[in-house]
Amino acid sequence: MRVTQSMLTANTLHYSQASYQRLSTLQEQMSTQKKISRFSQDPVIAGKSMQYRESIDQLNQYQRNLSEAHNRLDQSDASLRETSQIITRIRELAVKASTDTFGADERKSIAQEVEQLTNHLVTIANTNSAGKYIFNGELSNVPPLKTLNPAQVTEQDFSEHTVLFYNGDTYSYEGNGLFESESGEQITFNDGQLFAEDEPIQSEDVRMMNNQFATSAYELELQQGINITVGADAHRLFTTEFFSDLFQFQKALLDPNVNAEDLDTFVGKADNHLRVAADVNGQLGARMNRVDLIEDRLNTQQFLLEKIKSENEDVDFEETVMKLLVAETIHSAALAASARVLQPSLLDFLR
Amino acid sequence: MSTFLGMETMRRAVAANQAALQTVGNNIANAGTDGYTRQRVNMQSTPGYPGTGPFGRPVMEGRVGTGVGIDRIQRVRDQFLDKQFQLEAHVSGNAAIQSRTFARLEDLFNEGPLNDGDLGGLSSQFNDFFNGWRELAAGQDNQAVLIEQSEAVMDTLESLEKAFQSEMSLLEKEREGTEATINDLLEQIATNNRAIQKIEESGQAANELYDQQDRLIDELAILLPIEVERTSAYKGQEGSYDIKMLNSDIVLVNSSDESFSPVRFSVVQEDGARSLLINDESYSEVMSGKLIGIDSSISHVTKAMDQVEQLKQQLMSEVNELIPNFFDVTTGRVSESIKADPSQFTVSKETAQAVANLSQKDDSITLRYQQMMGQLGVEAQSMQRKTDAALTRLRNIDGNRMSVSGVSLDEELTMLVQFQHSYNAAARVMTAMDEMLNTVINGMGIVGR
Repeated sequence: MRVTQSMLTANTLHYSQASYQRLSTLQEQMSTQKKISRFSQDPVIAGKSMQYRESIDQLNQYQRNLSEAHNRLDQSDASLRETSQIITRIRELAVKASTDTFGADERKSIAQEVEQLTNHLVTIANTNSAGKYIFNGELSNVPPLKTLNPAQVTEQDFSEHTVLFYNGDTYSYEGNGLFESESGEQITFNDGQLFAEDEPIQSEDVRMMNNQFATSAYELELQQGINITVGADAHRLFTTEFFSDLFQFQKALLDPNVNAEDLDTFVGKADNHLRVAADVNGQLGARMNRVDLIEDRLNTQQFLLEKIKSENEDVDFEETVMKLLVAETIHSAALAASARVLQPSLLDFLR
Repeated sequence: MSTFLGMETMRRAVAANQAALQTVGNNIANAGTDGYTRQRVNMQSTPGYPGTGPFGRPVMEGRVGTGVGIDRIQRVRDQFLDKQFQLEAHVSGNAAIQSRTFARLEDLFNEGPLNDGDLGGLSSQFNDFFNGWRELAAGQDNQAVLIEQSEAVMDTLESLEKAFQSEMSLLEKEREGTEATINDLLEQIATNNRAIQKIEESGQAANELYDQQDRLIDELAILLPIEVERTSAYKGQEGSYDIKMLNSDIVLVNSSDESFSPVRFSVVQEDGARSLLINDESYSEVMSGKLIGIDSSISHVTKAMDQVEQLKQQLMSEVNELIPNFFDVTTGRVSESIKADPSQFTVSKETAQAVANLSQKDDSITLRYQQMMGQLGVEAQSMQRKTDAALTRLRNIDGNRMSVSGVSLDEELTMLVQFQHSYNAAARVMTAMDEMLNTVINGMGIVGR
């Protein structure tokens, strides 16, 4: 084939363009550490890369949900432990009080301690984290327990969750200022005053509280389609009966007619509540374990996904360096060859 | 035989070699000229002496040559290669413009693996959007953030649609420009035809005009699928050019027609098949070339725009089904009432979770978007390959053409030396004859003087 100077020039331009393109691709791969920068370079890699990124983004969200779960579980755990300690202390006090050697003054100071502990239990039941009442399930915007001072209430303060402890019985609110116990006894609220059988009741003989513990569990999605309960079934522990017992115990301690044996029954009651607390806490522990397992799995999944994503789209550094070196050598050789081919013509020798 | 026949023979030799040198010089001068075809002087020995005498009898014994004459100065060109070039050029013109459009679409979507952490791509916006709902489902009060994320998705969708629209209007303009270029080329070819005919009528070959026509046709062949026919009247002449659409009788330039009127082009879609209307005449033979490539490009952009619009509608209707009036479907935005006070926007955990789960359906927006990007990537890649292949073939054909028609300086210099020697030698022969005549005229009859 006949070869002319213009063909050599055109080829030189074409080959050096191709060479620069290779260098440019390698330069991009080296600087970005990615095999491709646009879909058309390799639609398969690009498509997979998009899916992996979506999965990783989603996993990151589950990780964030997980930290919320840990927050709730840890707080619940700490609160339940504290609750158990308090009940244990109350049991100790019940044991102490049930000996006849304790006089009225000593009983009174025990009663004061029981009252303080009860108040503290209410605080614990209302544990709040970042504006959420963690023991109140889906109703985490409202406190589960509210104590009401009988001397300062109006009828608007009552709701269907309001209970009243009086004289060993628990009365629940029936509406229209009427409280009724299970045995049918009634207490009425009229113009800021409580009446039992038309007899006015002293407000210090009564405890009122609003108990609206949610029975629904608080759930979080921690894995695709898997909702985990992250919290304790506190409604099983902080029952109306529980607070009723505490109030009765306090009342009994202040009552001179109550003898040591009567007080001894509160030891058994404390034991019962302690068992419930242990049970609720045990259940919580099991849920914490499950969340830990899920965290492990999420971490493994994330690791694997990052790895597979990297294998899919990241360059092999050593390989790319080698390719760059080879391309560089070829490029220099091509330029050198072009220079030698283009330069001489017959004119150089016709003199 | 005339006394001066030899002188005349050498005069012709000097003149012929001078013309050959002039042609060599012209070739060298045009060695870098685009579209130039090298020229060759066809030399021919002139008829011997004597010719045929009365009664067919030679008037003398022996017959001497009378030297050299120039038959014609010819372009060295292979028209078969021109036809090959025309057949390939429209393919590359068609693929290249579509390739460019796909690359542009890819740039607009900005979805390469490079944009890790970059918020430009729609996919990361979708991910953020659905994660926002997951976060809400996890009990976080992130309504304000969520609404911003929703707005960001809508922003991106809207800016994509706007970008597609301006891309389309650019393509429309390019289409008009290309049509104007085609008509401009056709008119130049028609004008050149007239000039070629005038020169050829005087018995000459219009080498420079042929070159110009061939260059115009090369340009035209990228824009439209054409074929060229030439009517040469005399030996050594190439004739003027008829331009027709490839494989058809649709004439764009008629060499025998004195006047040229501009051609109108439009692409129509009939029963799923596309055809090109040329002055209202339907052409559907070889749908290729840049002009038609632009039309295909417009349909690629339209398709992308439709798909993005569908994604938008799907997103709005799916979310609104769970949370009525979350998106205002008329403005394509989060409803003003929700934007006004994000803290008042409340949904249950279940609903938030349900919105988040929209991304996990079989025909979820994210999945459809991924498929759409995958398809775009494959189409872009295959069009890029088509373009590369067509350009390579075109380059090879052009290489073959240059191999035949290109100027080789070494070759011209070799011939320069050759013709220079011929010229010098002819002059030397003339000198010898001059000396002989000197002997006869000045030296004869002076013996003994």
